[in-house]
Amino acid sequence: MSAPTVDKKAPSPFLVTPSTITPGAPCPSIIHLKRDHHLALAVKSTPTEGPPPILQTRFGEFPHASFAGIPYGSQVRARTTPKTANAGRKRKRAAVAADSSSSPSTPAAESGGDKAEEAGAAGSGFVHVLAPTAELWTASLPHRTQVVYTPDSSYILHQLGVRPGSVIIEAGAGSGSFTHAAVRAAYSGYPDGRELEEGEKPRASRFGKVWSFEFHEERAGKLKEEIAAHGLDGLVQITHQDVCKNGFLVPGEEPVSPKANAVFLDLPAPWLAVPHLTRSAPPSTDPTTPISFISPLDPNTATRICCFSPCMEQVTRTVASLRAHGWTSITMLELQHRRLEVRRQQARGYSEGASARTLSEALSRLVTVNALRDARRDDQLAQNKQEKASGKLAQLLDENKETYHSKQGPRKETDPDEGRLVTRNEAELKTHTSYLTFATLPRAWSKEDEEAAMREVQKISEGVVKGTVGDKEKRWKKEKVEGEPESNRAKKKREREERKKLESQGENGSKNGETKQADAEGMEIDG
Amino acid sequence: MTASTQDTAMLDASPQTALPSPCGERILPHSHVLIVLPSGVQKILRVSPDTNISLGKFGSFPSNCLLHRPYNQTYDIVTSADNTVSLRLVPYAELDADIHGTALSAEDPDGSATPSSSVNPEIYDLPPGVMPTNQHTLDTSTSQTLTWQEIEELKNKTTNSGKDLVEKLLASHTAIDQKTPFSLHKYTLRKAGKFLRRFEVRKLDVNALVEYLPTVKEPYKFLDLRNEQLALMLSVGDIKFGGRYLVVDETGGLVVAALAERLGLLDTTLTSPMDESPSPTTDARKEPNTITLVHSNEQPNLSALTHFNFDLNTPPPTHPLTSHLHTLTWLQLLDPDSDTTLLPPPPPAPEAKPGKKATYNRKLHRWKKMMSIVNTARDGGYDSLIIAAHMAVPGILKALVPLVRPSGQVVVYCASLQQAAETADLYSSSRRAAAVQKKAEELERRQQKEEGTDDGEKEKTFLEMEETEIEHTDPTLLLAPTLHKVEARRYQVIPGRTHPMMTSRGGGEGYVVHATRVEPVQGRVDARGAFRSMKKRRVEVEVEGEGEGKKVKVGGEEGV
Repeated sequence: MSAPTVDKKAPSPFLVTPSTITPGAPCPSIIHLKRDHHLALAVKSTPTEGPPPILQTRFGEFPHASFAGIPYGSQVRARTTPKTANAGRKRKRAAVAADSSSSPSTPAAESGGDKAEEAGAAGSGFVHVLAPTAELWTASLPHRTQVVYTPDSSYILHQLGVRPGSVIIEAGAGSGSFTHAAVRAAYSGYPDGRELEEGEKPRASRFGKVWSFEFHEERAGKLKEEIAAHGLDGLVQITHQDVCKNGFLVPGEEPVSPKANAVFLDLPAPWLAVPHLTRSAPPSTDPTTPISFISPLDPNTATRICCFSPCMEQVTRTVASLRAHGWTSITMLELQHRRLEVRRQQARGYSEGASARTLSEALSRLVTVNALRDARRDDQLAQNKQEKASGKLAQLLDENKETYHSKQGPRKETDPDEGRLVTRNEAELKTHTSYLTFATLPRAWSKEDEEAAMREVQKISEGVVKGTVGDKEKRWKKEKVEGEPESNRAKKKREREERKKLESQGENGSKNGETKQADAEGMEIDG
Repeated sequence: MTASTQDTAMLDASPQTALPSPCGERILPHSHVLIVLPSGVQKILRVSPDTNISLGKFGSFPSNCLLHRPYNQTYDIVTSADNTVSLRLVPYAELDADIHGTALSAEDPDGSATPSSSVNPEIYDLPPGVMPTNQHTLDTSTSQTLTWQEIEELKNKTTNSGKDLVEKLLASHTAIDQKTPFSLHKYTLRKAGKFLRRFEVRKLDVNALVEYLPTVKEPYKFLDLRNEQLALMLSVGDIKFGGRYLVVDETGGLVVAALAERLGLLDTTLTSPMDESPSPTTDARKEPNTITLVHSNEQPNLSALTHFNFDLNTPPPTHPLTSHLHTLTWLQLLDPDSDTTLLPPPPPAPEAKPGKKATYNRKLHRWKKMMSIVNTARDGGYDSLIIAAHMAVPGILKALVPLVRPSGQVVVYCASLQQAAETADLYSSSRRAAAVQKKAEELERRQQKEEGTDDGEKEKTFLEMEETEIEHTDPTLLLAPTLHKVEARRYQVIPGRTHPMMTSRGGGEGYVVHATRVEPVQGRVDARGAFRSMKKRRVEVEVEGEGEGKKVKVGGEEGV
């Protein structure tokens, strides 16, 4: 629980998970209330004056101090509200003392901490506190626009080939959910080395970065604040700019090119932004004024693009635009993502106030009902005749008390292994998110590059010998390949044939046997 | 560029340093590349210098033609008159025209394409704006007047990589003017796919490999893994540069390769192998940016990594994976004391020959390294656990979940829904409730017994456990298990004819189960908040929810 040193910024908890929660840090921790109910909470440090900050949830009250200094992933009990601020502080001090006396991960410290906590622990209620991740942030972030959800963003980043050291342009930053997923994929260390230990060398030779553009000024401002609070400054650069009009160069004294390897467009009209993503200047209408052109793309690598549009009309226009600007391998798809609920299906019988579990149960029940009806009728008849009831009805009722009478039977204590394991879709489905259009723009390749490549090949090999192809085929057909030395086997075969020829010319009976033997030997040597 | 001009270029460049050497991404010697043929068939090739690359009926070419040239380009196999072969980089405009034709321009997205010059407009006699149909098309096998012998002959004679052949085929089709622009385009593409001696080269990454594998391997060998699921696993697994990851991979190394890619370990230009200046000790050393693989056989199967020039048996010293991938067997991880492969090498006699001593030192070094890996792994604290296994998952989870740090992610890939549901059910709320109660009772019992009088109840090692015991996981360690199903639906995007693909690959569809590792508090925990709404939804077949009358109840969590 050492306080962060002032001179060195801590790396983002999104990228490097710290061992414990530091109170007062601007980056939020995620409070897991229940499934799909998350809360981003920046844990505040307890002020010296005034009431201590408290998190109010439906599962109880949690003073911020109960999160401070504990490891991420801990379950935290709810506390009773301290009567006075003073009492709360005292208790907190005790807890901190117990924590700092020994390392919190050892069991001894945990039990010690428990004892200190018990004084204020409420009877029930708890939450889990988790380290922030891109997914948890997506689930808990303040929605300003439609969010790119995890199944889509994961597939996009995989297809775009974003990996440590990549530079990615994101246009239409929106609420920043994709920004967080993208920076995680592209991250290869901070340019200022804040994640490294003293004296450690940078782990990668280049730094990944996300260049994010947003044309809505307020959203851009909010996102900037968030990125700074999350410690992602230097890795994400937010620019307030309309990319369809002004392109992807970041304004400054001199426009800066992101030099991107990958592009993600979440725009209403991506086909207006595509013309800015070229390697060379567009053909100028006025050739007298040469325009200075800087490409926003990395000239040394191929660039992958993904356009995220919900409508088919947007897709066809985007695809036409991509084709017109030299993008290849255009593919389009949509992702269908379902979350499935897993449950144990337990059939409830008559005793639980429900219907029959099986056919035999239904039959026996129907028989009983019949018998009861008959008995009741008999009793009625007997009563009408002023006779004494047979007592059959009472007996039957007594026998079937359990199955017949209890409309709302006691709930059974369920065994976790009981019942059939079934799955079903979650209550609300995201049937369509967007169409994903992918394309590739090959790297810039000039005549000089082609020549340089030729030279390089000459250096390392026999060169680009526009080699005669088909030597292999010739060998198979046992034709002689020009310029190739004759193999021993071929040589022997040729000699043998020549010898045979000579022998057959000078027909000599006595020598015949010998040559045959020689032939046989030759065969043997040949294998 | 002919050979002679090349030579002169070489001679001119006497001070060779003056000429710029190629930079950036290009096809480097000995790299694996993905080749896409016009028919859509994919092939993985290793481009070694001075060899011949054969593409079957599409012909063959010297590999040197491909070296140091760019990826994502299309090349024509060009045979010149003197029977030499070279590759021509096809410019984009030509390629686009060949694929999409002049008849179907990109500016015509609504599909009312004008018939191309080869289509006789009089046949249709249609008012403008009405699509021509195949009303007058007669399908006979005699439409194509070229015989197969003639086609074979043309194939042998062709010089401009088959383009003239395709044109000839179109010209000698008798019913070509009856075709609608769409069907003509389709016909042209089909013939081009058959006869054009042309291919595209793509960079081989994990994405391309996963796409390619089902065409050559039985999908069950890599658990029917697809890119959608792999991508989701990497995201929910929170894989990030600098983390430490624990992996069980029985897909032939696909998951390890995907992780390595995300950690920048397949890129030799990004990270260098770790310098092992502090000699390895047997102490646990938590190195960042590492993958630890636990495998069930003596040697792990990482065949997918050979496509990225990494072989575990002879790890190349310059490859970043060499120092960032640690492998150990289940026995080495769970019961290192009973694994004889982990015994230290016997020291040589003092009078032994220097050669023997050197061998001993080498063995000692290797043993220390192995022990360091084992101790680090047993020490745990991993950022995530990723599982894709044929083996039963419960045992794996029991052994490995405790090694993940709290708030770390656990991701299990399951090839079938049943397996996925069973995995998620291991951490169901009723199981958690039962476990919490059991733990609380045990704690109370222990407290009553007084501390200090330890009854010597030692935890069993995994080797001593019965099979049912090994499968018995601790449900309190994982939070909110979630079962994902994700599927990509691909579309054809030819101008004017955008629609989902008519067919796609069937077979197994994978599922991803994901949960977060948490640290439960000691002692009894009661939930707060009544789930009244559940009561209203009570239907005939009751589904298991929260036991309301129970003493111990895990709140904050609904049914799985």
